[in-house]
Amino acid sequence: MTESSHHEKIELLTLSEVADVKGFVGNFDITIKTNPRYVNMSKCTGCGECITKCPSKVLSETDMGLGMRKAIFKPFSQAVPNVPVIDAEHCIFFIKGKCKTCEKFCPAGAIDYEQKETIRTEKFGAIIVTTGYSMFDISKYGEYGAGKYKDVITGLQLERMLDPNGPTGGHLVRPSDGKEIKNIVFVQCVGSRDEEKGMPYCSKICCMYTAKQAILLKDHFPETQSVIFYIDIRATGKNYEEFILRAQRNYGVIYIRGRVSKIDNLGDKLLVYGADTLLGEVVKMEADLVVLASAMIANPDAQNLARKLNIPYDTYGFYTEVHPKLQPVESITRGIFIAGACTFPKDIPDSVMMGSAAAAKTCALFAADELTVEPKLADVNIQKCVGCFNCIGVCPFEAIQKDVVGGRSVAKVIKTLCQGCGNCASTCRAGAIDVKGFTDDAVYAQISASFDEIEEREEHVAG
Amino acid sequence: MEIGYYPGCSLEGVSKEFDISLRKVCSLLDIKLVEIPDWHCCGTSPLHAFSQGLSYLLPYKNIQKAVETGIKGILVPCPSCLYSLCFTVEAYKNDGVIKNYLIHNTGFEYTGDLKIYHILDFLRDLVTLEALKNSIKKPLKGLKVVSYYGCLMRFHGIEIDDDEQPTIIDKIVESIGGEPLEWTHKVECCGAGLSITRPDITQRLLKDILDSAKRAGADCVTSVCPLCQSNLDMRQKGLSQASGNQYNMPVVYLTQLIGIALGAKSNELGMEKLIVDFIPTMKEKGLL
Amino acid sequence: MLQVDSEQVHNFKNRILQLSDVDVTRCIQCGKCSAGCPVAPDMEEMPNQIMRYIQLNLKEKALTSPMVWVCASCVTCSARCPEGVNIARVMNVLRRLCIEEGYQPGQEQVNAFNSLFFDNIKKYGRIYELGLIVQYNMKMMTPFKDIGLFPDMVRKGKISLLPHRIKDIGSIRELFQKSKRFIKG
Repeated sequence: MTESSHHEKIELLTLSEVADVKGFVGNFDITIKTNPRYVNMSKCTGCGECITKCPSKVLSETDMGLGMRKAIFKPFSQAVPNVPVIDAEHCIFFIKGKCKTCEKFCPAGAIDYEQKETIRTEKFGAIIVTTGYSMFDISKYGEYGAGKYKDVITGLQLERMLDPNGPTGGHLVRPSDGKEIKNIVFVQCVGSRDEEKGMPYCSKICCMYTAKQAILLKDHFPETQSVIFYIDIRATGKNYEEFILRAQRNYGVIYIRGRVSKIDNLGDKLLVYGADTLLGEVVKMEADLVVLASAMIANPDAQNLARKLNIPYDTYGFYTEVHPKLQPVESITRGIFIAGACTFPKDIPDSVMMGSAAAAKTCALFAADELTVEPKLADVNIQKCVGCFNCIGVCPFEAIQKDVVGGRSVAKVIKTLCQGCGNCASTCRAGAIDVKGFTDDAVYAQISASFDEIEEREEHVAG
Repeated sequence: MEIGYYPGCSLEGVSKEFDISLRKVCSLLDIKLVEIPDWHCCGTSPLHAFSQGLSYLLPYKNIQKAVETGIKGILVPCPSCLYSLCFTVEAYKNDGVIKNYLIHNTGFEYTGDLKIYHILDFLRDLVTLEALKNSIKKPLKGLKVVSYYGCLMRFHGIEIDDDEQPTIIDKIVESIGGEPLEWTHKVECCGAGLSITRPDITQRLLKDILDSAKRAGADCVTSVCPLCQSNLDMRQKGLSQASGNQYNMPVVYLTQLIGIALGAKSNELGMEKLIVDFIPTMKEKGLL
Repeated sequence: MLQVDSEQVHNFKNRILQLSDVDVTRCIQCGKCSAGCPVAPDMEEMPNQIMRYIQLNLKEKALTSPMVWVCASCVTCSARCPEGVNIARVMNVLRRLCIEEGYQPGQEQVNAFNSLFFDNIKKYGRIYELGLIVQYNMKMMTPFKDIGLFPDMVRKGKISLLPHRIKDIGSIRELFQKSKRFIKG
């Protein structure tokens, strides 16, 4: 992150969002909305005095609600740029009109409450979408007391607890009462592989990060014991199976095959009701902390962005690639690439691979002087076109524009945008549009030939 | 307000106090209960295990009897009866084979406009908790109550509340001035159905539930199911003998608690019929 | 050793599907049903194993399992099943099939109780609790099993000494005559 922020050819736009996208490959006009930081980036030295002095405390998003942050804050200590931001929703000055503590203590005079959002439009040749994922809301699991019992947390929350800069300073203590933790139960597949309460798909990364956390726990806190309730262990990457075996053999992590049905809060302990389907026995055990491997889900805002970018997404809200095997980082819209967990749950190696692939594809696109396109494109016969422009409304790629030829308004296809779907051809009442190689005559001939074939076959059977 | 009433077999026998207290509460709230004439047993789980035909026919015949009185809604206090009735209506609506079978064998075609209530949604939606709160004469101040739903929430005919962490009884207890407590066994099965055939299992389940209520610091458990209440109430003596620990946790019908709060006398609510005596707790809390 | 016959392997599962509308193929054997089952701790088998018997066409094992008969029908399994398998409904169908096909119920006393319950409704139209318990204990040769409960119940007026017979018992008996163990299939 730091490296990219210093790179002469990379401009890092933080607090910014894509408001609108127009144009096509090589010629995207992107409207960028930059939200106010209320801190002058060029003056701020990143000393952090404002953060220390700010009187308003809010639950920290980075720490998944386990810790607090200030109303003026940096999301995490290594955040880039090293400049804080004011959360206007919780800032006392913005709510009540007075306070200005941060301004008072800032030695650089960098606080600027007057900043407004800015909007600008710039040209880009290609877009790589890497909007990531979101976590499944575990509070749907009432039987686990999730969202209600403080000591039932998610894997990501445990990750924060293990961070020396995290909410507990890297100490392993119960969120409810701050007492030390000895027994930890992990529950796999919470919100994944569950068609009733969650998602039918396998969240893919949980088996591995849970094993990692169990190993880390034993490493840092040798007196702890981890037990993992799982359905199937999915360790299909390089050295992954060996990693699981290491957790079991070298770190004493106990794996129990069976889903947990219920968790009781006994006050100073949690009681976990599970099953060992290998033994055919019910398992009941006490735990100080229960960690739920909550499913990775699509970013809730992903669909919104997809509509702006004109790229498709699946029923879960993950972006859809052109071809899941052969074109995994390309969206159907030329010049827009997708990478990482915005397409499906992914771990770090897979995300890095996809990101690299998308970058390489973009370079390849820019390297050529000319674009080659598929020959399967819509073609307007301007003699027949009556200028109704019904085709513009049905084109999912905004590939048709109005044009004036010899004083007449006619439709014009932008070849780099057209994907040859044929919507316009079937909509055109004047019969002015054909997809090259798929003229109406050709399609009718194909249909007729297939019927002949069927008839022949039937005759053959009857005969 | 007038509503049909299907008490079910338990409320005629072991759970008479549920019937008594429900009738009293309704009369205090100005609700007229119209008992379904000559109602019969709904069949409940033993029959479900025995015959699919009867498990639909018996409830359906009861629905026929209710519809023929011209009443628009019925109140069914027993969750097991409620399940049988709702389950039948659901199958009738969604499954053509079952619908035809029922019509063919009874000669009655149900048009689907009978609304079936349990006391929980009845209190919440028709009486409203606000109205209940306004009718309170003697708030149950300081009475610590754990609400026990049993497996009621699991029965899909009833969309009253959250399946796993329900709160409707707690809200009712709150609106009559009591203090609902969080506890772990709101929706655990009490094993009433096995109390005759596998009392060993029932005893283990009872023990877990009662221990949990004790751990929560409850003055009493409140229940809305005749099978759960009688199971939890009657079998504490046996459990005490078997386990060597003293079990003495009052298990009271929610309607009895509401009745007290509405100012009814304890004998008007069948309090004396409870096996684990609730009177000392009431005295202690100044409710008598 | 189990013999799995590839040609027959879907038979029982399909029969269950036909009788209950529940597709046991959906079960992924996660064990959540067993983990939450209130009776499983006292049983040799667990609910997910019953589903497994069905998946592998082990009909006799499924029909004669005591688990099937001790199931309390509390529906916890079905409510929590991540794949939406209505396990409790399958249990009911297995019990009916067991009797229909002349197998020995895995827990005879439950079946005995159920048939007395059945007779009781047929006779009176409503449940006569005292009669039911006494009859059951006589049948099980444990006449004094629940005797400890009676003094309290009688003293508190919690039990009717005589049965309540509904007026129109005729129409109920007619339903008993017309009814079938299975409507579908």
